[in-house]
Amino acid sequence: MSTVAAEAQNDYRVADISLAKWGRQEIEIAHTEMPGLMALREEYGKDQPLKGARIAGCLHMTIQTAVLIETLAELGAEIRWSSCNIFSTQDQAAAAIAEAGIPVFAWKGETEEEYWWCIEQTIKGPNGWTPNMILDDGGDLTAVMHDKYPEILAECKGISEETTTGVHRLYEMARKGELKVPAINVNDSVTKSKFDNLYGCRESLVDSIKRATDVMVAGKIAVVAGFGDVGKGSAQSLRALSAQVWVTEADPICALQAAMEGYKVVTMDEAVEHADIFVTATGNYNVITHDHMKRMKDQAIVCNIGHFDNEIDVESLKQYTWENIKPQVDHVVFPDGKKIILLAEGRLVNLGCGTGHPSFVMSNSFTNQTLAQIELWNNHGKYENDVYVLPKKLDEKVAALHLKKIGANLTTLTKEQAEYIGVTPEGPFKPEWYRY
Amino acid sequence: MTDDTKRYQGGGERHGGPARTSPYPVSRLAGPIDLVDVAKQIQEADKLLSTRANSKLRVIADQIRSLQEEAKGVLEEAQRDQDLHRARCNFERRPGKIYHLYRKADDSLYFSMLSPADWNGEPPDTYVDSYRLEADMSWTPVADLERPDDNAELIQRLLEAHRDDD
Repeated sequence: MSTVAAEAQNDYRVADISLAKWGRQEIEIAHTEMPGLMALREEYGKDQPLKGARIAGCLHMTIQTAVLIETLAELGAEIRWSSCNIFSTQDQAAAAIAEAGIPVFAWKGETEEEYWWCIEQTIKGPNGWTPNMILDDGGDLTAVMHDKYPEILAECKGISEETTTGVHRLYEMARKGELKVPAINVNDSVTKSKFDNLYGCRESLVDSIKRATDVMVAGKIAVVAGFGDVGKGSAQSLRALSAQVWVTEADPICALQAAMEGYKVVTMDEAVEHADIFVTATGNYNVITHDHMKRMKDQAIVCNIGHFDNEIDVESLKQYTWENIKPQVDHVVFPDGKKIILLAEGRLVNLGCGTGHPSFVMSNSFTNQTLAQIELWNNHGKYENDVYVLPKKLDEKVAALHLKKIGANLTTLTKEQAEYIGVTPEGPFKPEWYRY
Repeated sequence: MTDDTKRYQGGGERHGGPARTSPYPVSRLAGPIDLVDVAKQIQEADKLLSTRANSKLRVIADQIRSLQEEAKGVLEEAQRDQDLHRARCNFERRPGKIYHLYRKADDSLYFSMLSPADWNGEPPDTYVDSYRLEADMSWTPVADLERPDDNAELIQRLLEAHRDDD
């Protein structure tokens, strides 16, 4: 068993360490597309504002995340990492990070049990290593820390949370008084949700559907369930390829927004028999039910771009025959012989079937993450056990760091102009409640 | 001139050609042989031949049997490898890596990157075995990975003996 034993000795677990060189090359390309993070390295590299921070991170182990991890490391943090989705790891990215000496536990295609195992590895390291900071996406790590390791959690100074679903869980915990650590809601930085969720999905949704099925999108009827930021981006990209896009919404404001954008607003019940492509982006569950899928057309494509895998009732499909066409692409055969194409088993399609969001948009999110970690680590005394968003000044800073790269020139207000609208020339430029 | 025609009185088909080509004795000087003897000899020959053939065939049969056994082994191995490839596995398998096979409560098999040791001996499902995926997509049980190779040793011995002869 010596080969097995040797493998277990490494303080990381990835699919194949020999992919590290490839991963490193991709990381270097990503550097040029992630100006926000690179600027933070330059700005804070000397001061080491994360010195002493031991971060347990749980976020899709992609190339972009690798740049985030190494930025945190360059600012002085010790890090252990896992992926927050069983399919979202890019094995070459994980390999490169492992080779750089950062313990990472992630591979594409984990089982549910392996997923939790990976998270546990980030909570307890060799020589009694435990985290004192949490960086989370979806709230699973936060939940494990609260439920299983309260004594380790007591040492933690803060949590920064990446995504809508995780933030939702944090607010729930705070409301019930169960949140034991101050948390920063990175998701609701304008430069996160209005960019990553919207412009990220706008590029990665259709890319992943194409990679998985090569389907001609033009002329098809595509249903987007949910018209939040993710739904808006998804709908726009499908329309850009000339699909007829229908939208389902429960919120009348978002429904009206969809209608004003020219999308037909329907219920899923009305749409199922007509549409060719189904995309869920609601953050809710059972949005596409067994009954819906039973009534769908033959070869309908069904996928989810919301964080969790319960938007589509995949469990109900387990009773039928599955024909695996290629990784993350399955034919589900109904008793009458009809087949639907299910992508990534109903999990995040843009990470399961594609390569996730482009680096540039992730640089926005991850610059927020890094600033949130710096803020919590250095100023945790200022915060109660509640959920906060980053100050608008920092939000604007994140955006500013990205402008130069794309050749955008910012107009500077004169003192008089600034006074005229009641701001300073350096900002912040908008009141807290402004919706962008 | 010899009286070639006198002796044979028996029935049967008559030989119309020269005596030297006759299948039956046509001379007084000929030996006392007749068709019965021929038949006997043929029978004897057959028996001898078949014994000889039998022993030759036995060698072949033995070879066939051992080949069959080998073939069966190969087929079984192929079947096992196929079964292993059919076991549920969500990640991309890479040759040279060791993967661990588990059986779920519903009897389905799946491969995991994690060994029972990773689970501190308490894996969530029943551990079956660990295999290394070879470059030809076959599987080698880990127990075989470190077993000394018999053939290699034999070949080594033969080679050494050969060198000693020189």
